[in-house]
Amino acid sequence: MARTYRYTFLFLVAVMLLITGCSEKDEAAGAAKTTGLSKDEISNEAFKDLFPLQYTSYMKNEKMEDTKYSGSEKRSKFDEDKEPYLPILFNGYGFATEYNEDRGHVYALEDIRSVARITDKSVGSCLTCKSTAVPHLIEEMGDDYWGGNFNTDIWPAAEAMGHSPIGCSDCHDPETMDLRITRPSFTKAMASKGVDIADATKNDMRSYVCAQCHVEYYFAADNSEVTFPWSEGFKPEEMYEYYSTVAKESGFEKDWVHNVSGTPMLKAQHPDFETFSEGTHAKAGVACADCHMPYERVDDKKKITSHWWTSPLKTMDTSCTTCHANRDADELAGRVEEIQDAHMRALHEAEDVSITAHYYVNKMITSGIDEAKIKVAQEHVRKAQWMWDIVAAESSAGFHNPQGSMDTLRMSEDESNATIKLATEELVKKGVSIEELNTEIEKVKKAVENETDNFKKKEHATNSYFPAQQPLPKK
Amino acid sequence: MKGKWLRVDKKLLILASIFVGIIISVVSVKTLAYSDSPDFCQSCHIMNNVHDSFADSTHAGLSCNDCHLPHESTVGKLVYKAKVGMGHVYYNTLGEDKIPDVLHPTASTKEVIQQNCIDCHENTLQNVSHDAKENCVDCHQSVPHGKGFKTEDFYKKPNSGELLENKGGTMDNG
Repeated sequence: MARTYRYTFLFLVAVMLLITGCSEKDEAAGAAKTTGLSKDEISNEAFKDLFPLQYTSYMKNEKMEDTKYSGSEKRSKFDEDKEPYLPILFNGYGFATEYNEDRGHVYALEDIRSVARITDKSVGSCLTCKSTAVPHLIEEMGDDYWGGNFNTDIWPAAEAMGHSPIGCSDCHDPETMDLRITRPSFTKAMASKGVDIADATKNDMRSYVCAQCHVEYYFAADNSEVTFPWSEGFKPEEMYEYYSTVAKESGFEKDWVHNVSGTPMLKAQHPDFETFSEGTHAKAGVACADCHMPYERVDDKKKITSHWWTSPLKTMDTSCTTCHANRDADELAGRVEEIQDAHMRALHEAEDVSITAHYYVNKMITSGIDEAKIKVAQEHVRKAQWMWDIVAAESSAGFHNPQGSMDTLRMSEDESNATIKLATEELVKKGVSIEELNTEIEKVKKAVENETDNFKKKEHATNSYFPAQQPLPKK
Repeated sequence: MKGKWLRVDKKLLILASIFVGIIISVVSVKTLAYSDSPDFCQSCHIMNNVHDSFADSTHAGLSCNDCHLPHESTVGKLVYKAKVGMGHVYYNTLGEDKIPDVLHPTASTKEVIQQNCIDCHENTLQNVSHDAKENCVDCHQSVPHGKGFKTEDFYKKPNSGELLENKGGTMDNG
């Protein structure tokens, strides 16, 4: 009898708790709240006490954990199991010296300080997506921010402002916590597509805040301003069209001259937003935050939006099965892996053909073939590399748009093969042994592969058979 | 005299009892029915999304429990209802730390739903072969909850202050 009473009592308590728990909320509504923070607040720590749960979630970005192809460990992309031939493909450019897998937002400042690509000649623009001080620097310095000297002017100024690595104020208004755009490059690029971001919906904003940075960009020729090549479209071939027309007309022609083929090259950067936008999930109305910021249960009962930006392969349950409710999470993860396996195979193949194309052009130059033919071959090389690089620079190993990425890799191989065909025709006329050429290419690749010091790999890309095509300026 | 009074008393008593009985039955039936209805279910915020998509579906005229409870017998239905209800009460009070991140139907709920699909759509099953998959919803996965996974609200401009109001801050979060 006493047992029955106890259970009845517990049950009644439970019902009471349920009723009170459900009705408590309504009273809080009313006048608009503000955080009490300054509208210019840029320190992540200033938000810590007001939003302890979100802050704790954000600090999970410290975790370093790899997935099969990506993840968040700081590792060299030149490692054996990654892309060991990149020092050939980016030869003559900083990306052949040091190129690492990216890690959590909290490391943004530390990592840009330590990477060898930042030199005494680097410009302010390099800090644009690393520091929370950037919107204020742009406001105070105007155009001088973009072209300012990174080491002597911009970094010290940001430090003096008490900046944080990519954080709260980059996406939130510190007073109202409304989502906001703080990088003008995005606003301008969307305007160039005829989109006014003032009309953005809630769904749009859940992608736009990410799209301020996770995009392809270049530094404008006149003032080094971070610029997104979007007016012709988001597809790699449309952005290439932009670089061939709009960018060229405004004076931007290349990022560097390739040391093997002497080609004026473009370097692609993480076009996550563009790639995703053309993919099936975006077309179905999914936003970045839906998968990358799923809700997270904290303190046992409160649901918050996760601020741990990482591969959804680590959060399949909340990221994927919320929509794919009738699917098993492990089964879905297996499907993702299949897509990524196929993608990486195709990427490595496209890179390999591209290497061959660079060396064939090198041989054309040293064999005294007609300038005009070399120019045509170089145009193919430039486009081929753009096509695989824009795919490789993207963070999802193809998942953001599997079919689109595959199509881009197909175009890359087409362009490389066009180079090889043209070069072969010309070289044979000059009596060059194609067999010997191919053997030399294999030797160079072996030499790069065998070099254990990642920083020295690039030195093996050229030799007496394939002389450097770039009079090395000190960068 | 005494006998007459008693007779009246008995009649009154019977009448009153019937009246009270009717009231109790009506109230219980109404209560039970109400607690089967979409209106009742969506009074917990966690059901907002499924309710919205349901209300916009061809099944909108039904009650939640037309599909979500077994209907072979009244006793079976009520027992299942009590069991599930107690489960909800438990998870929302003492068992909060055991709530899974994503809510999916349990194996027994899946069976119940499957049977309810069949009960109404039996004729279709007789006309068209439906034996390739285990459950109706393996193919008909958007019936009736899958129509769009975001509310209209997502396709409007955000309201200033709503993040702070609804999601953030120590006031709401503890």
